[in-house]
Amino acid sequence: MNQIIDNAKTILKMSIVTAALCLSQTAKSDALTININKVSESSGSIMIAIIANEEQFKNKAASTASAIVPAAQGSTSITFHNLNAGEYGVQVMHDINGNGELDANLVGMPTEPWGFSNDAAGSFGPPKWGQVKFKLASDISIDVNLND
Amino acid sequence: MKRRDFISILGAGAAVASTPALGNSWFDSFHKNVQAQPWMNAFKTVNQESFNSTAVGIRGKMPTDLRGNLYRNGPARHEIGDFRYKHWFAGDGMVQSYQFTDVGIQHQAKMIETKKYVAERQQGRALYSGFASTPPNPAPVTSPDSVNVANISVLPHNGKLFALWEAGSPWEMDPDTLETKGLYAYSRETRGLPFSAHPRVEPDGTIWNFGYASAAKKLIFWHINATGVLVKVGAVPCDPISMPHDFLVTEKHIAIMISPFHYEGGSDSFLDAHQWHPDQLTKLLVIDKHDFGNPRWFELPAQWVFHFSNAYEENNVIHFEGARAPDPLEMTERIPALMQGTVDRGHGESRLFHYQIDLNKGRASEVALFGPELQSEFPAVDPRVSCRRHHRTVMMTTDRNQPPASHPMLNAVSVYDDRKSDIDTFVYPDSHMPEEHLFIPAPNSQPETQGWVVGTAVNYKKQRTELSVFDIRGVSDGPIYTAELPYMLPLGLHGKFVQSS
Repeated sequence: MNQIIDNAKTILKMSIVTAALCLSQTAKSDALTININKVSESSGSIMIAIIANEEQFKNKAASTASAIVPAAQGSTSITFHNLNAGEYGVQVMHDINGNGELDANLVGMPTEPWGFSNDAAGSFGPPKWGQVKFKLASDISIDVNLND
Repeated sequence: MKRRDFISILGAGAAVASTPALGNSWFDSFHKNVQAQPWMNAFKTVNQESFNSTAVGIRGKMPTDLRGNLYRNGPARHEIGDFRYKHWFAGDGMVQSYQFTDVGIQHQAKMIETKKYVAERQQGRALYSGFASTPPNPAPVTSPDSVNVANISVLPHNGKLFALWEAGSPWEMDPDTLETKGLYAYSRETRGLPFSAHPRVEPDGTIWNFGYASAAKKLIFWHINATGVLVKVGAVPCDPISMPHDFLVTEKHIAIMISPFHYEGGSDSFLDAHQWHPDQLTKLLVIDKHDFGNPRWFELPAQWVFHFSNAYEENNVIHFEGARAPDPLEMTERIPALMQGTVDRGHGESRLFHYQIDLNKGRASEVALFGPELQSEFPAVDPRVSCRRHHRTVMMTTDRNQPPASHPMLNAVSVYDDRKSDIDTFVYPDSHMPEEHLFIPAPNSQPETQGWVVGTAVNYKKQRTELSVFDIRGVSDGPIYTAELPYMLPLGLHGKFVQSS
């Protein structure tokens, strides 16, 4: 089941969206639709983070926007509105057991699916910001395929 | 959303990355040298997805109570296009079954459709870093299972069949059709944990296994019951860590050898990320079997052992045998040379040793069972005495006092009985490169009394793979039954026999 949640609803429901998104009044605003594919099962939730720069990507600052939506096997979509034009990256994880974390096994490797914009992947580590980032200059739609 | 954790744990599996730039020189060298050294055909790549045939060339009579299925595994696709792997252990796995029926041997083989194999088939080129070499423009290795080639052994268990690697998950196969079903996890929490290719299966079907996580410097231990349910999994810190290939289980304990071939990173190649320290000691870790606790470490001189026969315990002393080499040069030097035909002897220096770990006195000891003339590998015992007192060991050998074979691998099968002073040996014809042989018990017999030695061999002169059955009581009398496949398959690694009930 595809689930489209627009930004207004997301803000109300998720209460995780940061001030940066809410206060984005001055520049041109665009909508970003993220199609999350290869969702293996309908358990738990999909957690999405919109990252605006390398600092955020390295997790030294909070993400620009984020959302949590119920997982639906196959594909799930979400649209973020009112984003300033500029560079962004997207990071997605599937919290299958709903414990609010990306679980890891005894040697610290993820046991739940994850993905990045541009389907970026690193060798035994996260991809680089340069692999993840994309330009938002108008309303666009991107795909993120989850790894499993 | 714990994004910091997410970013950090993506790096947790850094263990099998490999990026040395090795181009086509291995490919060129192999194809040049194979003309003059026909034994190299045993390392020729497979370029087809499956094989299926009824064995021909039957000699002798198959015992009427020897029925079941010999499953085998081994690296089979050594080349993709003009890219050839540097190492035998890097090739993509192919699982085989030799079905023993009333009308002969029915054989089938299929390439294991791992994520890596499927992705590379789709793109028509080698994509990923492997055990010891890297293709041009490699794709990222996101986890060990993304390069899991499932090429070492098989585990038939409770109606299921698994193809095993050692740095990642088991691949589940259909035991009848050999179709690949997918990566297997005993639970969600254990997804992606290393599950080695030499699990120990007790006579009641209980599985014990281990795995090594190089970057995390941890050993993983598994306990799975006879119905395939995970009982316990645990991690034990191990720093420095090596790449142990096999381990030991007794009635009460688990033991594992950590040779001073240490994972130190600092290299693009997984194999090259290990450094040999001949001046350092080999460590033996013993833990309690029931809870993976009470770790105790013992010491032995520097050495390298791929395979152990079996372990048992008497008066708080753990006993086992292993094919001991003075160093890991067979893996680091000889096998890569073998793969390009620049070696005249590939079987290294491994000899059967008897080991003891005295838990009361806190010390380990070792003694060579044979002189340096007898090279040994692939030790196997009667599965009915697995993790119990055993006497008989089936192993592949070469006697250096005999005229050398015209190929570089071990050339004979032997049965060693620790109650006797000599061993019973059958030397294969010079045209044959024998693979691992197993002890298959005769139904309704007492352990280690009656049964057969069953194994395969690559007849590189005739370009055929052959299967032989010997009576365990006299392998030197030669095979009582042989069958020949109408094709030759690459030299493989390990197998298991499932007897019909």
